[in-house]
Amino acid sequence: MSKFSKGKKKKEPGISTAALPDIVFMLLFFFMVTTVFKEKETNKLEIDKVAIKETIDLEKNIKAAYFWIGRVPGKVDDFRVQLDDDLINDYEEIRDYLVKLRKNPEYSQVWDSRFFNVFKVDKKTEMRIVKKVQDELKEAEAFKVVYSVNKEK
Amino acid sequence: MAKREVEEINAGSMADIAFLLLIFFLITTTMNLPQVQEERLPQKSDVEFLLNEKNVLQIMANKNDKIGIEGEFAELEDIQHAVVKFYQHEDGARNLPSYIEVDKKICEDTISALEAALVVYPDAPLFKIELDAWSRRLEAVNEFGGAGFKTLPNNATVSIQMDNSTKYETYMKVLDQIMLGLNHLRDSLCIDKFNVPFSKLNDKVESDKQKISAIRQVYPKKIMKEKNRSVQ
Repeated sequence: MSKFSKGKKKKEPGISTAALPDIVFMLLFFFMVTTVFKEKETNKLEIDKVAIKETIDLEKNIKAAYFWIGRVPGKVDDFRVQLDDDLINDYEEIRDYLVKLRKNPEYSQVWDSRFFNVFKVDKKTEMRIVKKVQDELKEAEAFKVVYSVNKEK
Repeated sequence: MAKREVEEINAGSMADIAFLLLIFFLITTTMNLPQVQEERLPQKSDVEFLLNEKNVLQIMANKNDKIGIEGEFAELEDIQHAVVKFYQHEDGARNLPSYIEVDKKICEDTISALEAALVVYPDAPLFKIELDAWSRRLEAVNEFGGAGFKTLPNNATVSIQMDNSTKYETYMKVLDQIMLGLNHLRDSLCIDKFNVPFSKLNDKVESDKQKISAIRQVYPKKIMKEKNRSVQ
């Protein structure tokens, strides 16, 4: 008889997975905090953005109206304006849209501070179209404009 | 009666749920904030401003996207230098705006004069605008530790004029060039006064916010967009 038993093989202990949820949660919280949702995109128009050197970060937690100006896919020189989800036919729709938006207290409270008109415009667009849209913004007293651009390296 | 044992909730699927969320955020995440260029549209107004020609830096672009500065053809990069020269030049230079001196005494005198005027004409909007401007200048002087500075008069402005057929790209590049020139000046002033470049200041921090505002008093962003019209 020996003091040390040789016969029985020791069962190897399995790796405990108890800490797994903790690790995963930690990663989860990291990505939740750092995440910024991708900007709204249009699928109705083709937009080739301009690249410039001096850009600033778009503020977080803003209220915004999105304007897209670009080419209708498949056509060469047909520039159209898209407001939220629909292409507009008449520039006055913009004014009506903004006036309606402003009636919502969520928007009216931040109208002069955190409300932005976000423009995403194709680089080949003629200024007359941009101008017409902005004339409507002035009518609706929505003066803050940001142009979405790419950063030139 | 035998006591029923409380069943434990199986936490085995917790990891699965967390993974699912994790993958969702992994996919939707973008680390960089969207990059933008800012502009404030002017109030709608039928009033025409009469400006002294030397107080205006006129930048134009025609329908072929050719740039003109003060009526002469120029390259895009020239705008930057023209802007720097417009904001920072020898006093009394020809065709460039003359400065107004700002220091503590001038600020206080002007503010008390304006306040007195506002008592007589309580609804004069121009006085209110001036009072506001001078109070901010006084804050800037205090931020610089009492040192005065020179700045452009209120009606000095960079004017942009685009043809109706000018491409949007040209407009963005012109705005970009103006900001390049302006930020260059702001950077060197900020390093001079606070030992930190302007672009490194964070407007979420209260002390930085005051510095930003002070620098902006010396080199204000003043861009006026003229009605689009055909430029020869």
